[in-house]
Amino acid sequence: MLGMTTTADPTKTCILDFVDALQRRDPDAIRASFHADATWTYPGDLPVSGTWEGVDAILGDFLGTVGERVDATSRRFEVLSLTAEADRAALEWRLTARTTDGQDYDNTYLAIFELRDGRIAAVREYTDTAYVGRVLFGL
Amino acid sequence: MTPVLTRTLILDYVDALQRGDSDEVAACFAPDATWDVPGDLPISGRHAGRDAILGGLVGAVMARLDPASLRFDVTSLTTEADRGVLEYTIRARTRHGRAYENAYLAIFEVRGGLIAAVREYLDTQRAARVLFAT
Repeated sequence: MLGMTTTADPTKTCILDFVDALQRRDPDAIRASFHADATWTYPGDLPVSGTWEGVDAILGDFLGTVGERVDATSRRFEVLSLTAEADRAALEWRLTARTTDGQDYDNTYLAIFELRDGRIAAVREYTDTAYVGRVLFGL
Repeated sequence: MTPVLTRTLILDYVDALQRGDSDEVAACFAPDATWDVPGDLPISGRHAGRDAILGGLVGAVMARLDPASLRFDVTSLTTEADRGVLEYTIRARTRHGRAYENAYLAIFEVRGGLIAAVREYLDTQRAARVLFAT
């Protein structure tokens, strides 16, 4: 699992399982990480900005839109840090990929994950939106 | 360092910021602390050393704002032994009279009871458009 040491912390285990599912591109496992009514908030004024409500919107409209912009097989997640306290975790990661129009994408992220009963209920993501706009969306 | 002390240190830092007490803010940082800001903003990159953080970074931001209008609200704080993640919103009026409101999430690495390293994440698009617009 990405070279992270195994952890007994259930909040960290949930987050690392989610990252692992993303890395393996396992749609069932990705979906199982979320509550049906989960929300994901993305900053800025980009096509993916705002709060996505419900797992279908998160997986389809949000992650799907991002996914269309990159070559899926080129995508690499690297966990930089994971901090957890009770039902909340902060995940810091680096994403590298090749965009569908052939650019190198390399960006770091930090996001709060709020968990409920061992699944993701809310995510608030923070990243360099100017970079995302420029490289991923040609803005 | 225990999570409680890490939490206390970060809350003390927030309190000093909210009171505008620059000596207390400075006292929260190790002399060789670093602060990383992403993107291509005038403040982007690594600010190395407490003096660079307080002068180069905080000074550059404050020069863009009406200091009396600055509000700093904490959304969440997640702490472990030597690391805390602070989520906060800054609201202020810029020198040009525009309303600036932006949400931030920052990792604070703690060493010896002081902030040793910060990696801050923010909506850089908004900062560029509102805070650093010429």
